[in-house]
Amino acid sequence: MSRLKILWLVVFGMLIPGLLLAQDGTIAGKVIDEATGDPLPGANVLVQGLDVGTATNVDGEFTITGVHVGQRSVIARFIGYKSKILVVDVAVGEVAELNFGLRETVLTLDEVVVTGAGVATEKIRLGNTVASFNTKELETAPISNFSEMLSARVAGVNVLPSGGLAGQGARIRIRGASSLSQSLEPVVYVDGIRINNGAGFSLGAGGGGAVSRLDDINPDAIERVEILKGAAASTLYGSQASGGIIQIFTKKGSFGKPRFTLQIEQSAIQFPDRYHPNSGFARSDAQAQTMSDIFGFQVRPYELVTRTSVKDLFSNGYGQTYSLSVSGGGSGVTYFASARFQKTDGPLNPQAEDFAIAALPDQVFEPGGANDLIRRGQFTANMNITPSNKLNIRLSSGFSNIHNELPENGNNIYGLVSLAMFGKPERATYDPGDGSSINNPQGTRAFATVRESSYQEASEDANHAYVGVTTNYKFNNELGIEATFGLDYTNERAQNFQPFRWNVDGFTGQRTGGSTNILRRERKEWTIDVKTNWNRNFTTDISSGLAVGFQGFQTQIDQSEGFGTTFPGPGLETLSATDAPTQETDSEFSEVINAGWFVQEQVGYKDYLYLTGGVRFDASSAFGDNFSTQSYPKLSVSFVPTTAFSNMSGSFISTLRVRAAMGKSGQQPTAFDHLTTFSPESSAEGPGLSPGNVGNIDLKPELSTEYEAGFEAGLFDDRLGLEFTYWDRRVKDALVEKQFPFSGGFQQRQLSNIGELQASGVDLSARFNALRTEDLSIEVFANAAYITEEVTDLGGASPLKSGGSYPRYRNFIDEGIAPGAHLGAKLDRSIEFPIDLDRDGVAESRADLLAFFADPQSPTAFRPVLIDEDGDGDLLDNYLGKPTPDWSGSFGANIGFLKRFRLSTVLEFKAGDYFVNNLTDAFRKSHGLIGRNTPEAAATESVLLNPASSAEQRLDAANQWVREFLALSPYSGLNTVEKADFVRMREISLAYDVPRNIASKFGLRNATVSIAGRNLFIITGYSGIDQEMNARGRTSTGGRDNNFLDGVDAFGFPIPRQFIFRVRAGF
Amino acid sequence: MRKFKNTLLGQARLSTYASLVVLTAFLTLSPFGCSDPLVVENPNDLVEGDLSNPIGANGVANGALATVAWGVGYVLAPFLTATDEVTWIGSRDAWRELDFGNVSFDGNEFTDNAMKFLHEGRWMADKAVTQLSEFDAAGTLPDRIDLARAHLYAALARVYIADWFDDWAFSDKTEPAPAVGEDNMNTVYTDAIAILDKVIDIARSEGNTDIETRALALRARANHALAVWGLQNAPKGSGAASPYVDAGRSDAEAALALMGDDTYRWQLMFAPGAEWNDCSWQINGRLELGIVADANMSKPEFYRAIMDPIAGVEDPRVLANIAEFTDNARWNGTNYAPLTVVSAKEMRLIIAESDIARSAAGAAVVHMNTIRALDDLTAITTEDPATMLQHERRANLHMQGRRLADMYRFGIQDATWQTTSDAFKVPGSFLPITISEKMSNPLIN
Repeated sequence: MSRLKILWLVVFGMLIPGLLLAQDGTIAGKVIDEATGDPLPGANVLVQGLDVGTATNVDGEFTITGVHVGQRSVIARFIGYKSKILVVDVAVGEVAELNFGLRETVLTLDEVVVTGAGVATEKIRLGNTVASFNTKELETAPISNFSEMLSARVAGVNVLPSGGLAGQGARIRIRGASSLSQSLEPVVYVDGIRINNGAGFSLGAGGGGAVSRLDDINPDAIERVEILKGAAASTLYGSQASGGIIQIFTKKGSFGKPRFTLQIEQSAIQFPDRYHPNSGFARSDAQAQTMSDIFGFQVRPYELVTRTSVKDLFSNGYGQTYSLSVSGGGSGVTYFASARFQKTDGPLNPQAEDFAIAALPDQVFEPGGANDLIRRGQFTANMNITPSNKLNIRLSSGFSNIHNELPENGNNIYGLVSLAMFGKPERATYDPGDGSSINNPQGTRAFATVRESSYQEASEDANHAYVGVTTNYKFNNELGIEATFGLDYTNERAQNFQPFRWNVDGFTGQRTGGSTNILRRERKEWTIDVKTNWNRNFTTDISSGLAVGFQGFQTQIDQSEGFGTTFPGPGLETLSATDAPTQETDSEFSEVINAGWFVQEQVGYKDYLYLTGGVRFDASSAFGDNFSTQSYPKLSVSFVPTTAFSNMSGSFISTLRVRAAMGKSGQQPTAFDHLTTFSPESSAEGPGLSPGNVGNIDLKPELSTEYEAGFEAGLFDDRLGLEFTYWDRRVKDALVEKQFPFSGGFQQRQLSNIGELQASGVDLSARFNALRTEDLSIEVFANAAYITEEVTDLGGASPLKSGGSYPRYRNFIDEGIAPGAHLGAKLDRSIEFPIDLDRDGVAESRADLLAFFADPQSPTAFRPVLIDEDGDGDLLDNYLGKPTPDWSGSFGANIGFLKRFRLSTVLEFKAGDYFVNNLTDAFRKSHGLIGRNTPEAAATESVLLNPASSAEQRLDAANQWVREFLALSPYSGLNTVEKADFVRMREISLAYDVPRNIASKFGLRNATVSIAGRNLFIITGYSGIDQEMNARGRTSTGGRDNNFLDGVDAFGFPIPRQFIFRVRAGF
Repeated sequence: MRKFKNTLLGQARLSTYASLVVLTAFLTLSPFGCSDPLVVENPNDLVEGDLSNPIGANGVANGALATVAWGVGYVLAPFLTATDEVTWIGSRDAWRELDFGNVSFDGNEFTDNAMKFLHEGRWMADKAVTQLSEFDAAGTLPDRIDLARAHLYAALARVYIADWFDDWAFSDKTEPAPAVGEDNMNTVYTDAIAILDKVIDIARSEGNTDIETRALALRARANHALAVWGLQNAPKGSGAASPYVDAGRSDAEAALALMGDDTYRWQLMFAPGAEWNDCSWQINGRLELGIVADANMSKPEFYRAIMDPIAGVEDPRVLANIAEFTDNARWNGTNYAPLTVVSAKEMRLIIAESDIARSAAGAAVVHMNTIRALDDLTAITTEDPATMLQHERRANLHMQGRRLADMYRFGIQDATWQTTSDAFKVPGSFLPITISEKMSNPLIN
């Protein structure tokens, strides 16, 4: 499809509605909170039947012009308030005054949503759930990006932070895993434009530090978010929708003079002190003396010494955010523009004193430039043009510039923190000046010193922009057409850099002449979305809403990479400066085109029964040659008993709505999965080919069918709102990465529609408006989601393991278990001494063991006795728990007091069958060369090796060793996977609204001062550093690693605590 | 129409709705009006049909070399770790299990991962043979040397497979094949020898002595290894009356004659942007493995010299090999050290062993001294030629993937082998069919 053609369509779509304007009377007034009298800015006011309306300005005022004369019903809506309809007489050329006092409600059934509904529709008409939240209530919350904005808001929507590096992106999972192979990230739209929902490169960062492209979105520009959780709701989005849909609506301004809002934020950031100190002991007097020389205190053989090698690398991080926005509007035009600058320099901050050696007091050991930093410049400009009551044109645009710096991190032998964790005090060395040793005060065993690692730098720069236009034309009260055209564009550059002679301590031998790896990626996503709607009342009781539409998307990704090593000297960083024979290049291009058509009919009976049916047809370039079109039907019903049976509504049950929905959606394979391919592979004798993709001409999207049913209930005059949804999802023809025999020559797994995945769950939420007076208001809320998942069929494919051949990652996809569950070795704890000396798998007798342990023994000299639960001879496939908890959710309160203070809290929890692979400590407890340095493991090893220990002491130590410390290959999973339930104080904020009379003295319209904290504490029995860390961070694609390499705590950075001070002023 | 007009729309608005339908249809369909909009180009790879074009024959043959080289480099690392040539010095303790002598564990991550690459190489080489043979039969093959090369790489893959593995399977793309069976692995050698017969025929018909030399040398090596396999598996672990074999001699002599120089080597070469030698990466880059005889390795506590028993010095052939293998600057990185496939020295050692097996010790000594003279080493005089052959093989075939078989047949045990290990308890144990193949191949348990 040519760009010219699309451009022509854009222009055409904007111009088609040739229209005639008409002006009659005007309605004007104000919308306020009935209880407090406060104005409600941003409330929607709509003349029913004419479909003309506007939003209130900052003072709650509105003006609707061009209203046909006569008696008109006008409805006022505002999120969190019950809608109200008033009747007014409109006369020619006159202004009819109309004022609304809205009552707060915890139910939002009157709220109008558009996502997945075909056209703008009240929630009450939809049989499926559409979660939504307004950002107005989050203005004082400690959130700095979209991921944090989404976190802990909606039942069943999990935001998984993966790690605490500055800018590190979070993964989003809605109702668990809806695919075994395709991306589980929801599709995201901004104002109808599909945007890049992927991630940065995570270059050289051990897989953990990638930013999320969703965090490029200016959070200050976001007005409202709608979320479709699954197929029952997302049918109309077709073949990429089964992971859910998120639609972000940005601010469009409201009528009135320009109103500026300035926000200044300063924050301090800390990593929690959950790192076990590096521990060890000297084996000899000479070693003890060396340790004494380095550490500056007396060390004796076999006496435990502890060092804080990791903690030393951290100090307080610092963040700052400045944002300025303006909104306003005149006749027929409103606008919103925002500029935001954010910079966070994280707590990683190695200093020369971290590498000091007591015996060399005059020597300064400068660290390198590794840093964790994110800097974002974000701009938004929107305009809403309403030339007439029939035509609306909305222009949306956003641009972000992002700069990110990362250290080598994650499960990475050159990682800064991982190397510090590998250190053992007794391996610390220093050079007394004669070159006989090297300076390695942390005692790293291999690869590089900690200081050398700090000389490695990774950085990423990105420009991300979107632009779109939505034209909405109403032919009349019944018929309308809406067309959206948009482009999302991302240009990314990442660099991983080792400077010339980065082996400053003379330890590492890796690319000591330096290296650079540069990646560039350009991603374009075009959106075309055209739909018509025809709303009509067949009779006074029966209404109809018909929607017909088309969506087309084109995604192009063009990526190139260069790598080279060995600079001729210091100061060089470019690829061309590397030694030419070492240089390597790579490039890749992919393109996917999707096209979908849908039709949907909604029939309403009176105002309490609604039936919706529809179907979507999809075609895609990613489908196999033998497959053309996929259809996705939907059906839902919504019934409001409290409206149907007026006597039912009483003081206890104020509102009740029950609903049920069924829908299908899909997940399509990626660009070229259906082709049998051979990839370029150079040989010493010239360019060649190697087997690539096996190919599958029958490839088609997997089909997700979801049923959901539930209710919303408003109790005690809608002060207590309850929402309950049960859902059940089956994914058939699931795309499984089937591994054909390796002996067949193709290493790559081939996507095949052979699997089945089943899941069900419950989404619960409750909100209680406990008290609301002018001086004190108390609102408490809670939401929770329960989920159970199972792979029911792999179609004969072998179990799939995440992490390739790396045995320490234990996440599996196998029939009968939740996808990604941990499988691994399990000790036979029923035996008094589960210790095997001769590798026959049987425990030795106490007498034999005492004889063996009569002499000092290394922990590698004996083995554990493992169990085989399913008796298949595989000792590594015992179920060890799953990384996705049964229960997740949040709870908290919003308290207003002393008129001007607001205290808000959000606590997030996970519980149930929730287990995390604590690989960090498995290394640190068990590994013979780079571990055994936690205090407990080192002490136990000391007993085993100490000639002064008795046989009994060694036997007890060995028993403790196999029961608590022994881990890693070939016993992967043993003493590693542990329960990880937690409750975390995600957000707390205290805000003070400066009295207007004081604010006005400074020329301000309003002002708010707030202090807030994020992730201040965690309550957990988990012994590792942070169960929310993950070896795999935010990624752009699916696949079993990106999807299911989950719940793995492996040398990452913990989620930091943040303390935030913020001033917000309007003028 | 009348009913429609009167009840739902009204005549006056009918044209509006008709226009709307046309408009919507136009807007939705016009982007796709010219051609099938859902066909996109894939410029990254060739599709299978492209391989049937004869002008790509050279690329197919090169692909066979590239993938076999990948496979050899990958498997060499775990294989060497199980010997006394290389030891584990890094962080990933599955190497330690190999160091301990537990070679038969099918779940070892490194054996498992490496196996996949050698499978890929074997299949790609066979694919090249099939494809280029079709071109040859049709008279469309541009260069018959590419056909010879394809056969050569197919044989090369088989020789390494038979040298290093206790069992193997030869599946084809999605069609699984059962395991050959431990007792039948000798057929992998005989298949390789048969393939090499064709290489030699083509090379001679095309007058290409380079390919002929390689093929003859590889056939000598294969015949020798086949005989050694017979020692190891008669049955496995039982030992044999004599560890010396008389095999491969005629090919070795023919190859030696063509080589013309006792420094001749056929090496698999690696380079940035082309193949990667994983064994080189593990030793020189990641530093997971150390060459035991390398005094300069990053963990000198694991260093053990290999001394020449006559000269009493560190064997210069071993040192030269280490120097070459670890010369990162020469190979433009840590991952690209070359691997020797066959050499003139090996040919002489095959002949010398044949002499020993034929009780012609004097002739054997002549060959060994020819080799030793290349490095100015003291000539063998009174020493036991058989014992010296063991050392000469260790020194001259250092890190070429022959050591484990030699250790078994000569009764040598690595100091790191645990007494409970496969290598210690069952000499003749090599790498197994690993867990990934077992899980993906329904014909293998």
